[in-house]
Amino acid sequence: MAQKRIKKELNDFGRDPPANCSAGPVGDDLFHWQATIMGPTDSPYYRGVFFLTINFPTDYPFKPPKVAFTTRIYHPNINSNGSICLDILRGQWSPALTISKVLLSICSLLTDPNPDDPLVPEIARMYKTDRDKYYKVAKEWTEKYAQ
Amino acid sequence: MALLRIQSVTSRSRVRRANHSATLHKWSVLSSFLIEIKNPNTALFFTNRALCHLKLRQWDKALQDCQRALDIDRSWVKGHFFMGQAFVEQAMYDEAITSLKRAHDLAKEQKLNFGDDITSALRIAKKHRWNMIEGKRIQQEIALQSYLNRLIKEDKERQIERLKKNEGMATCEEIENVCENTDKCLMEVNGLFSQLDDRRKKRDVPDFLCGKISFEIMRDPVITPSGITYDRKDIIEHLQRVGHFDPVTRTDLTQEQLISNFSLKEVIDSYLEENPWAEEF
Repeated sequence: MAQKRIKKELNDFGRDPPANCSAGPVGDDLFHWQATIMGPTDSPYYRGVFFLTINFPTDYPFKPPKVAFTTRIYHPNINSNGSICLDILRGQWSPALTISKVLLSICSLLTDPNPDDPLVPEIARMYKTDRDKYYKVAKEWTEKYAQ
Repeated sequence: MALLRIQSVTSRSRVRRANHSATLHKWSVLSSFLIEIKNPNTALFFTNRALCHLKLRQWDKALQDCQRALDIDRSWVKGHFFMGQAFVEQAMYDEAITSLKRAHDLAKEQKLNFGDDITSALRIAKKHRWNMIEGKRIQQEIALQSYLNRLIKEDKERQIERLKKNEGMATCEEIENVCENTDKCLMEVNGLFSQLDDRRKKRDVPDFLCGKISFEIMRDPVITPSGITYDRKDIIEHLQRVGHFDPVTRTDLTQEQLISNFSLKEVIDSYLEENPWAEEF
């Protein structure tokens, strides 16, 4: 089922792509995609282009896809390996979710970090105590790595 | 005794389809055992041998044995079932569909459980038949298109010829007019055909007939207390492997709460009747 479902998602994605996102397979392997997210306007990531890799497990959609940033990003819920701390990519996965919905969730995570469930505690602390500094550093990183 | 052995080989081969060449050898050994049927009044023996022939890709012999089984017992499900499969392999899709439908109905009447075996063979036959018809249709359309193109071009030349003859001195303007008109016709004709082609490429099953997990057209739709419909095998796999919740609404859900959605099943069946290209297997 995984292969057919991924094909269908690819078709649907092409027909109606979510705002500021793109995604598609790398080469011939349907189970391995690359995606890009444009930094949302109301965030320090604005004007940055962020690359992600998506790996579908063979028992997709009963297991979540593995999604990670390949572009470095300064964010309380994304670490230096690009791992993303997002509930729907872990315990809250549902087979009714799609890559399109996952990418949209990541976009909203960029706009609204979740410092109470951090992956990088220092960034989360700064986000909570010194929002201006967080914004400044995140913006610098965006300019440095994502432009 | 011989009968028992065949049944055990049959079920084993179902489990391990991958082990192809080894099984093929088994089938040929088996069929040689069965060459002589000592009790020609039992339909089962003939369908058993037919199955061996099927596995050995000897379609004619399989058909013959099925026919003999059915001569003995008209309502012998396996006779119709194997016959349908042999017909499919010989590209006789109409006959295949008739046989498989008969097998399906008889299995229902006799309350025999063949799982998805007969229905999936039926889907394959229908899909093949549709592909064949579609292929022919495309060929016919291409022929028609080139015929029309040729007619228009010939007509263009005839008109120009006539102008030149009648007037003696056809003006450039008149000739240009003729060219313009016929070119327009050509464009319109070819436009119509490419529209037809586009529609063919854009064929898509509507989302409301597809399961929310597999994204494919549903075979056995079931509805949850939240009102969401899933294909039964997918939602059961979800409940067993992911968790006891409705994938779309995330409310609690157990297998006992699933209810067959018969009206959607009817919608899907009639959709497939009208759109055989949507059959999947």
